[in-house]
Amino acid sequence: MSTVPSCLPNIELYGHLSVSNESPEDEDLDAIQALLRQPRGEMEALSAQLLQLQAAMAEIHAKRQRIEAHIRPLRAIASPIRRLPDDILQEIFLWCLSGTHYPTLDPLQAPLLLTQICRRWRYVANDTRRLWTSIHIPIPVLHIPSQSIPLVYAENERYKLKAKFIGIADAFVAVVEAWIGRIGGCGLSFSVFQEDHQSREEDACLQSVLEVLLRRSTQWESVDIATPLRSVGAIVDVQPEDVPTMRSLSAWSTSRHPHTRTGAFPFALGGAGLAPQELLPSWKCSRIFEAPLLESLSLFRIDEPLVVMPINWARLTSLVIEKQGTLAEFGYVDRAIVIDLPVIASVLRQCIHLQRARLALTPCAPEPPSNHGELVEPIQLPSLVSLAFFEDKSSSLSLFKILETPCLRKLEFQTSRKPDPAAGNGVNYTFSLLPFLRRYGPKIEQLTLDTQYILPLDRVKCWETLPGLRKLRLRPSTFGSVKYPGDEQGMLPFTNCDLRQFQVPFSAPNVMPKLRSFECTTLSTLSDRGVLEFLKDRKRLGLRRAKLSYEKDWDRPVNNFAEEVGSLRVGMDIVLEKKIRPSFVQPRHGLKARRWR
Amino acid sequence: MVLLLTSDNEMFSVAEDVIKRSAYIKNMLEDVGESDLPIPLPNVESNVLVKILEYCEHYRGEPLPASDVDPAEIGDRSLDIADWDQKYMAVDQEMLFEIILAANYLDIKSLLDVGCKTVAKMMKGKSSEEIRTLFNIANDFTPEEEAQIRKENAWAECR
Repeated sequence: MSTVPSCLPNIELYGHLSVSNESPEDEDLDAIQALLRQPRGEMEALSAQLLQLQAAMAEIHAKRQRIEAHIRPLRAIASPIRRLPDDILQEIFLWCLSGTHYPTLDPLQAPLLLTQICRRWRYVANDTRRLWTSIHIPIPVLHIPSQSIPLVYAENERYKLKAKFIGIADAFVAVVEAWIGRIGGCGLSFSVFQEDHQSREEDACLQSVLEVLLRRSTQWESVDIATPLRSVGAIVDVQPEDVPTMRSLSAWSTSRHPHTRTGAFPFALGGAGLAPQELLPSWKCSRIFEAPLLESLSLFRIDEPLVVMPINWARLTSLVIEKQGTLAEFGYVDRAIVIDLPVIASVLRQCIHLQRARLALTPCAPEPPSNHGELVEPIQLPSLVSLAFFEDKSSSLSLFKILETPCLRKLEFQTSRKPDPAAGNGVNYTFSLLPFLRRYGPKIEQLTLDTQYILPLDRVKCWETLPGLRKLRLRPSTFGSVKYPGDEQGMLPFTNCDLRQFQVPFSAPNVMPKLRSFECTTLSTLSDRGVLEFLKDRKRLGLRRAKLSYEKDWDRPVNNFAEEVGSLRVGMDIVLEKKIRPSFVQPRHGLKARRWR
Repeated sequence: MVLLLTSDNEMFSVAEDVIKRSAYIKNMLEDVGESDLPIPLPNVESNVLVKILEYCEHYRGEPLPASDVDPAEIGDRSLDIADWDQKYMAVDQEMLFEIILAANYLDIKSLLDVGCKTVAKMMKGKSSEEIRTLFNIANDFTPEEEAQIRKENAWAECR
C-alpha cells in the first residue's frame, strides 16, 4: 500500500470543515489556498511524467508489432503442424468428420473445407479415401418466388431462374462426382434426399446424381433413398449382382405423385388419367432386395404388398416398416398393401435372425379374428434385442401373445387405441402389451410408452412386471402416427398418483428397483410437490437421471422448491420443464381457482 | 525399471507397467528381454517425455486397448474428450504437436487419438482463413487452384 508523501499539507487542522458544509473564514481560506499550491505543482509534474511513459509504451507496442509482422513468415515456417507426417494429418482429418451424420457437400465443413486450407492439406485430404466414403446428398431446391414477380415478367423471370438453377445443378453434380471419385476401391455409404416440389429441374438433378452413384453400385454399402417415388426407377431396376457389398437399404417415398402442375389428388383415389402403376416405378418386384449381403432394411411409405416382395427376410438383422398405406389419413385403406397383424406375423415368422425391429401397423387396419391362421403358432425371434411397435387403434394383443423374444432388452410400444373398457362390443378391454410384459418384462431394461392411452390400473400392472428396468420413458410416439379428431376427449394424463406408484411407502415390494433413468414428457398433471417427493425417494433408490415436463399450478406451492431441487442435483441429472397446458385439459373457469391457503 | 534416453541425452528411469502403455517400448522389451541398457528415444525430447510419462502414469493399471482393432471399424467417432485428458492437453501448440508426434512414435494409440481429437476440436466451426491463422499456415494456392476451389464451391454460393 502506498504512503502519503511527507511534503503534503496536514489537513487535520481543517478536519472540522471537511465534515460539514460551513463556509471557511477568509484567513482560513487564504491558508488553505497556500497549502494547495505545492501539491498542485506535484500533480502537474506527475501528469507530465505519465504522458512521457504512455508515449514510451506506445512506441514499445509499435516496435513489438513491427517485429511480430517481420517474424510471422518465419513462425509459419516453424509452425509445428508442418512437422506432422501425412498419416497423422489424415487421422486428424478423420476426427473432423461429424460423428452423428454423413458428411455433406457444404464447403464450410469437413471434408470439403479441408481441401481449401493449403496445397498440402488439399493433397492429403483428397488422398484420404476414408474421408469420402460416406455422403449425404440433399438435392438443391429451385426457388421461384412467384408471389413477388409481376405477372407480365413472370415467365421471363421463371426462365432465368430455371436457367440459373440448371447451372447450379450441373456444378452440384460435378462436386458429387469428384467426391465419389476420391473413394478409390473403398465402400460407399450415402443418403439422397429430395422433397417433392413438382419440379422437373430438381428431378433432372436427382437423376444425374443417381447416375453418378449407380456407376459405383458395386461399392455400395449403406444406401438411403428418400425421394419421390417417380424418381427411383433407376434404383428399382438395380440387380443383386450390381450391389454385391450392399448391407443396408432404406427406401422412403417422400411423395407418390407423378409429375403434375395441378397438384392433383393421388390417382389411387380415382383421379382422371393414367393409373399410378403405369406412371410410377414399383418396388414390388425390385430385385435390389435380393442383394446377397443385405441385412438391414427400412421401408417408409413404400405401399407395396410386402409378403410378395422378393425380400430375403431370413437374412435380415434389422427391419423398419413405417408409414405404409398412409392414404388411410383420407379415409381410404387399400387392402392389398395394408400392414395388419397377419402381415406382420407372416413377415416376422421368416425373420429368424432379426435383432432390431421398428414396425407400424397401417392406420385403420382392420383387426383380424384372434384365431387367424397367422396368429396361432408362436413366432420365434431368438436374437431380437430391440423392438418398437405402433398398433394404431386396433388391438395387437393376438400378435404379442405369440411373440417369443428371450433376448429382448429394449421395447417401445405406442398406440392410438382408446382405453375404454366399454368399447369393443362388450368384450373386456386388455392393454395389448400386458400379457407380453408378464412373460418378458423381467428381462426388459429400457421401456418407452405413452401413458395417455393406458388406464392407470394397467400402468400399475405394467410397472409390476419390470423388475430389471433401468430406463423408463413416458413420451409421445415418435412414429408418424395419425391424429384422430376427438381423441383428446379420452386421453389420460400421468398424475401425482402415478408417480406415487414408484415410491416405496405406496408400493410393496419396491417397483423397478434398478431404475436409473426416468422421463415423463407425455400429457401430465403433476405438481412441484409430487415431483419433489418422487425425486427424493427415487434418488435414495438409485435414480440418476430424471426429465419431467409438467405444469406446476395444480397443487399448493412448495417453499424452497428451487433449493430442494438444487440439493437433489448433486449426483443426479435433473431436467424440469414447465409446459403450457393443452387447451383440452384446461379446467373450466371458476373451477381452476381452487388454491390451498 | 526401464531406462529411457531422450534425444537431449537425459536419462529417465520408469516403472515397466507405466511405460508399457507404449506399444513400441512394450514390443522392444518383449524382443530384447531384461537389459540394463537404456532404450534410446532419438525422436523425443526430455520435456515431451515428461508429459508422456504423466499420461502413462495417470492411466497406469487401466487395460491396454486391443492392438488388432482396425481404426476404420471403430464406430464411435465422437469428439468428446474426458475431463482429465482435456486438462492434460491444455498446452501450447508447440507442445501439443510434440505430444502427438511422440505418441505416434511410441505407439500410444489412446494418446494419439486424444491429441488428434484436440486438434480437430480446435478447428471445429472455423473458416479456412481462421484455420490458417490458428496454425500459421500460409495460403500457397496458385491462382489456378484458387479458381478451381471457387468453381467447386460455386453451386453453394449461388443457392
